Amino acid sequence: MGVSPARLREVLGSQTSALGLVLLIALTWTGFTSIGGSGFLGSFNLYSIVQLAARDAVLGMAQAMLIVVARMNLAVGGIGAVCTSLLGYLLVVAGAPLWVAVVLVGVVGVLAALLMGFTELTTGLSSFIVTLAFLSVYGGAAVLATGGRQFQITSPELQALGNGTLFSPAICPLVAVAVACGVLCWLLYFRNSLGWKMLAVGANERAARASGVHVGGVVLAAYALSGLLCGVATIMNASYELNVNAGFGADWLLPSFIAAVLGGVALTGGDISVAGILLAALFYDSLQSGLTIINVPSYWIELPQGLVLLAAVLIDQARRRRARPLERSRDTEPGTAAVPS
Amino acid sequence: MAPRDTSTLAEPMARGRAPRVNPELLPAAVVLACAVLLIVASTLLNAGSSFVPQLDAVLVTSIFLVVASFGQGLTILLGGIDLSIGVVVGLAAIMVSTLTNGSNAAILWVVPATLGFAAFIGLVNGLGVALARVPPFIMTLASGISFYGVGLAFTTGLAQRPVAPGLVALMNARVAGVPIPVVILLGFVIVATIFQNGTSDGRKLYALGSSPGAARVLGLPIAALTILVYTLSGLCAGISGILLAGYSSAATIDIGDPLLLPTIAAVVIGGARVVGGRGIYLGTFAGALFLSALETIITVLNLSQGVRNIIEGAIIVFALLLQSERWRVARG
Repeated sequence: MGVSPARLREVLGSQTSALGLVLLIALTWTGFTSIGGSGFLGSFNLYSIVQLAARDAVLGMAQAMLIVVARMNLAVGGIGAVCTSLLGYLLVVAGAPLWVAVVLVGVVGVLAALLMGFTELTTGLSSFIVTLAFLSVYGGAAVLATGGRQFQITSPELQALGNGTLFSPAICPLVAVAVACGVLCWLLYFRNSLGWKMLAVGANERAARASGVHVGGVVLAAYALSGLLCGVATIMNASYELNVNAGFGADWLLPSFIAAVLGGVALTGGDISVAGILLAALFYDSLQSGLTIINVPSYWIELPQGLVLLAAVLIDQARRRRARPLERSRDTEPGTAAVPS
Repeated sequence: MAPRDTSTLAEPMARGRAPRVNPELLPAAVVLACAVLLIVASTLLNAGSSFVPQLDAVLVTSIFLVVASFGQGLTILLGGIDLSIGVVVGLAAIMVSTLTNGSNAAILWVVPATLGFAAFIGLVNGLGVALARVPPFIMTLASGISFYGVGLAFTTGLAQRPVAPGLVALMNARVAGVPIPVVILLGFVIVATIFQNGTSDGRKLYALGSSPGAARVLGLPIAALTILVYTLSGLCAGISGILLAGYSSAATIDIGDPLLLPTIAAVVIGGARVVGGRGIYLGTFAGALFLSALETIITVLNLSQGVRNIIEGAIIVFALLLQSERWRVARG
């Protein structure tokens, strides 16, 4: 895979999406500042925006790991519930050291995702239905295992991570975690053969198989990384909420899709923009926060979430139709397959 | 069973052939038998109860799932999915209770209006999927969340309104010893089976689901059929919501959420192929009945919500494993 003109256009295409998002964020910020006053750009508000956006960006990457290989992970929240319960149990009940808890949460996240990957590969069914079923299993298992109890985390390191500051009072240290994950993702996809194979499997699974890519192994790696990122998101979420329970993760699915799709990750697989995911998460949480600042009743805030997701998909489709007008039809996931053109 | 690749193409064309026993009936019959066994088991577990009342109870509580999963089954038949069903059920329930506000006279216009609104949400889904080509799961997820937001905005602050007594009475009445909901249920199953497995429109859906390319070459109205299916799915969720409001005699906006996963589970357990093109409504009906019977057992045994979720997810996974085995054998 050399640098073909098509590849070059794709890279440039993803850059325009990142540029577009920067513009969108600038517009949102100026818009909300002019309507809602300077409170929006106050360090307190910016702090809470980036705190949430950091977690949503990592969720977006967890989702993107599987979207890139033309699959999806509807169970991000289920894995989150399991990991949160485990983290709470280890830190509060078992009194384990923080590093042990963090490592175990990562391992369990990976294992939970791998189990779904194995199920998908052995049954040959769609990731959509498999992860949907596991969402229910994991969510239920977490509630069952904890009996719905709350865990009050007191670890000072976690508190410093989620509620401390970095350089400026407006920046939450979680941003560093999100950016680090982003850099690792970028290195994976653009400087590592495994990432290239993932993109190849997502773009055309049969062609990848025919060129000697071990598709099953690549898909399992994508599941494992998705699970690992869910574990990271769990720790980020717990670090600022501190009082955690098995209900965590229930609202993760939507931000994960919005960050990935709005960030320019093609739902058909084979394409990713890491900068786009980070910026999309920032935009999404700016919008949420801005709507609250300008006193939109909290009941109305649900509505834009769905609309933003829809708009993201439509924009993505328009962009791709323009960029690649002669895209051939190919096998798609059930649930993702629109009416054939 | 014929090899899958030829049968999926040939089957929709088989209109003129003599009727034969549908191979899809076997999994449906097995699931139905399991459902009956579960009902028997719940009768035994529930001391002092006997089979017929227990059967009645399961049938009455299954109606919401049976109706809603018809729509889900149609979207899955096309290789799509409808994730807005839970929201539509909740919105229909809250709309019917808010607008009737305890008055029977209002039923006459509120019920059609509610059904119209539910079908409208389905129509929006269908338009998005068929014309804007948004992947079904994104389209229905986004519209579900958006309409949930609208519903939340309109209903919040309002006190809980009572459902019209007529609806409540309907859900509790009996005719000749048979509960009215059971009569509605049987009527719905007959109509739904005839539509899906007996009309030319139904056959077109199978053609479209098993081979979109071939369906296009045949000149089938793909966009119209897709829109029809999603609209029907919204409508079924609306009917389910109205019945649920009548049954619970009050409604909350998230009353339908627990129904979403079971609608998918019912379709999958019933033997439908998740990528579309296969599966009959009787299978879905059997799946819905099985899940309702299971729910009854879980309630009788007083198990927690966590166990419920695990069992539900595990059953889907198990059904999927069986299914992939079955297709593998069929491909032989």
